[in-house]
Amino acid sequence: MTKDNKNLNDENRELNDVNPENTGFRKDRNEAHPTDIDTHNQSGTHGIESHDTIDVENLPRSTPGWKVVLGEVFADKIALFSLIIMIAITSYVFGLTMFLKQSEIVTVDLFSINQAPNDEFRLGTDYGGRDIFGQLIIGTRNSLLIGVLVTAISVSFGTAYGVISGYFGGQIDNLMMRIVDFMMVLPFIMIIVVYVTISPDYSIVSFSLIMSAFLWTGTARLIRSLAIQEKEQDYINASKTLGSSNIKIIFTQLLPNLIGIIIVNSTLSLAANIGIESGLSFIGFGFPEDTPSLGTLLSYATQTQTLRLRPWIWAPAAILILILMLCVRNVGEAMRRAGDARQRNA
Amino acid sequence: MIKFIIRRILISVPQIFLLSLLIFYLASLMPGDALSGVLDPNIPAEALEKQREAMGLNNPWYIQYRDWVVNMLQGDFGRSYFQQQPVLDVIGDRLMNTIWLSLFSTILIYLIGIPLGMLSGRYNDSLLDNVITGYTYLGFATPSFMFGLLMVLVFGFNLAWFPTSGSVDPKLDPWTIEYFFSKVYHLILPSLSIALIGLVGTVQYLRGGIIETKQKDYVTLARAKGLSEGKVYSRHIFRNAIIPIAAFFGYEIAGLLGGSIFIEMIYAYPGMGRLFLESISTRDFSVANVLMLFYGFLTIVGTLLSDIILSIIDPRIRIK
Amino acid sequence: MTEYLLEINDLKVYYPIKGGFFNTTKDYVRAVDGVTINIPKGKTYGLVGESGSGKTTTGKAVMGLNKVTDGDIYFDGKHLNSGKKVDVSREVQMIFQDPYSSLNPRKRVFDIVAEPLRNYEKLSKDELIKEVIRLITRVGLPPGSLYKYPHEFSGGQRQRIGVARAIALNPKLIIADEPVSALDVSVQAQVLNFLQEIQEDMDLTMLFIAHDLGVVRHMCEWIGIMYHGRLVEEGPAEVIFKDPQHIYTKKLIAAIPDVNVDNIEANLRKRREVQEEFDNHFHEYLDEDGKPFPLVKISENHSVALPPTEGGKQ
Repeated sequence: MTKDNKNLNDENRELNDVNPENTGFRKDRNEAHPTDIDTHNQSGTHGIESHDTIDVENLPRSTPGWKVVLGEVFADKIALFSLIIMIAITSYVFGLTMFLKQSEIVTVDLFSINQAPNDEFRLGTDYGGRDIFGQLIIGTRNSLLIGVLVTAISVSFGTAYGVISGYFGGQIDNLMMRIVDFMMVLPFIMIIVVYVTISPDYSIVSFSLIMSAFLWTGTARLIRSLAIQEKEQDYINASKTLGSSNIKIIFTQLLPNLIGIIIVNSTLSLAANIGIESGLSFIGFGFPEDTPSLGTLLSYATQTQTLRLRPWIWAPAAILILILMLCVRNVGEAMRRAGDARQRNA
Repeated sequence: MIKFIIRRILISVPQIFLLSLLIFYLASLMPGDALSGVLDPNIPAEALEKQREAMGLNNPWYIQYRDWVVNMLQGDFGRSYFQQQPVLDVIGDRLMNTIWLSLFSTILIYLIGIPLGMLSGRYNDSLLDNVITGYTYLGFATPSFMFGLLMVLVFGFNLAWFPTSGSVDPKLDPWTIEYFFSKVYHLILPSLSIALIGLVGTVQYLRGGIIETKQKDYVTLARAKGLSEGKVYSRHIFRNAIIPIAAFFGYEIAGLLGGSIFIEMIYAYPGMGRLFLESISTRDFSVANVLMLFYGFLTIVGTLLSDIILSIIDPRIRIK
Repeated sequence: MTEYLLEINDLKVYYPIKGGFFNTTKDYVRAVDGVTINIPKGKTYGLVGESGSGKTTTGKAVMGLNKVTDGDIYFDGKHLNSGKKVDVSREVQMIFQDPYSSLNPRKRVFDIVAEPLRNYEKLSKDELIKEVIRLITRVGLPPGSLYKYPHEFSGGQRQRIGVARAIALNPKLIIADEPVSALDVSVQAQVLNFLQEIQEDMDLTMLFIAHDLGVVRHMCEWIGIMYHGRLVEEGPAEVIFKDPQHIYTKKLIAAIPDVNVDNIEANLRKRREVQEEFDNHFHEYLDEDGKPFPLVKISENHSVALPPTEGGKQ
């Protein structure tokens, strides 16, 4: 039964593999495949004491999983390129913000409002005379920061929730999933808007928390369904009979098998979360104007005049969002393929 | 079958209850109460307090909650503080506008997405498929509000093919043909903005489904029986690949409801989403609360419909 | 009685069938419905039956992997399903049917075999490595396998890893759940021989679950045959093979392939006869629920589930 499923999945994977480049590491994995030793080692009792002469340090080791994932990302030219761009943007933005003063940049300067890009303001200014370039740099940093924060919180909570629900099953699972169902029907964008309006002081951290409060459900569902699949496998049963506790099984047996999916899920959520944050800022309920993000820059475009006549204010932010989204996604997809290919060998 | 449907409906009941409880709680956190909008500031504080007492605003929360629910069931959704009229009147045809927008967008998603997905799946790895896949690739990375901005800039302002605000030409009388066409005309650009981004999921899902189905033994058998390629696709492959997509109809609408808030803002489209943002910025919370309730309720109904349709089409999901 | 290492008394494992409006329990699947098995120390008991007959469920119930609905399981005098947690992992171990799903694909051989040792033995890292190497060479794998992943091994090799893990704590009882049925026929004999060897070396008691009487013949001193959650015949291996009494047992024995080419004709004829008898009379051996009757002792150590009206031998 399970084997049939495996074969089926393999077929699907073959088909879904658009990219032919991901064969690189699979080849050398096959080479590492040992010859069948069943054929020349039947007695099984010899050599009990021979381990005294074995050099334990130099026994052959297989490539660890993370190396396979990295190898996959490096083998995929587009993903590698995306990764480099992401690292470049991140380090540039975080490096530069150390020299930029947020308060200075967001101070209104009435003598230089709505300027097109020029020598003094590389990307021009907005209606308050504020430097767009500076806002873009700080905004990108803020958007990335909140994206990572929300992803970290929501994915870790969602994973814990999904694993508990799926692993223990039964009535606990039933109740926990009803809660998820309920969370999913909530108009969460509106609730966040209300929160932002009535909460007296909200910061990057509290804003991330309220976003995460609604964004963990997808991860929880995904992880739960995978946990249910995994727990049917006999290696979990074996662990139970070997005297491992449930907690130990979850951490040492179950989670290592889900880690690939969790990483992929994280990258895809990161892209989505950056999008949601910029959307909220865009309608004016993300960060206030004195805390620029990519979304606040885009929100200038809700004024018709700015949209039509002053593209320098919003276009760079739009392009940056697009680039970030594509890069994060490319890397995530490459990692997903790495996970698939590894299962193929299993 | 019937049992499943009834049970599924019963699951929605606590959902609606919890939703109302949550909204009620949020409302209690908001500044102002039903009186803030009614009375002018010259009335002394004592009189205000008396009035509060009389209206039951000092009752314990569960009594207030019960009254709130009972009132709503009788059609009384409270008054707008800002516009000094019943909330239902304020919401009025904004509700219908949003439903029209979501419905129209969903239809467009299927109308454009299904053919694209079919072509992409049938001729996979052809040039056409690469173009479509490239489009979905970009579409996944583009937030819908960004795409909406681009659309309104290009087709609304620069080319001026479509209106950039409103839901209908205000000069026209209702219940005329012109009025209807004007409504549709105003709907086209916003719903296209939603649909062209919203359809990428459908396209990818359908493409994957078709490519998977292609390899199935029963398709090989159909070919072996000498069925023409066109018939193999229309009778065996598409039919099976399309079923789940059709069943997601309710989810699709539910999902679009939440996202329409951005598009309504960009197109100054008088729907519930824009009304919500307006009422938040004018601190007209009584309207905002009811709108949240409506959104949540519509989402519950949408997922309910989808689950029921799915259970009719695919008996496997009934085992829950 | 005291000689038995494992005693299973009237074991019942029912799974509820949920249904109806409020998802209440409507009925039960009686996976195991009153099975009594006693295994003397150091012996191998073969539990045979078709898939769905409840043999694996019986094995898993002993391991505590299934909830026991009714009945008692005693190991070495200890009551395993009294509700109190009795940890017998050190003494009772299991070899799983599917060598693919029973080894965690993300774990190296070292970690897999070391898991029980880490749980129960306080060993230093060096001792642990030495012990694991001893175990994997014991099951016939080279020490070079230590840091490899399961997918780098063949099915037979994987099953050896599973055995190494099961014997790591020097258990007294091993439950082998169809340990060779997922393997190629060419490898089956090797693994069986090797299991027998280990069993003799370590003086293990074994509950050997199989769907194939041919496999069991080589391994077991005592055989029980299950059908629909109940035993239909039980006795010493040679008695069962020489003098099968239940029609179901006869059919299973007739189905064992014979390598002797000269007997092809005779075997075929015999098989046809048995099949004919089976088709005509099998229903007489079942009660109105389609279940076998309770076992009746027909000699000192041979019990058969014969129809009650006929009493003794037919």
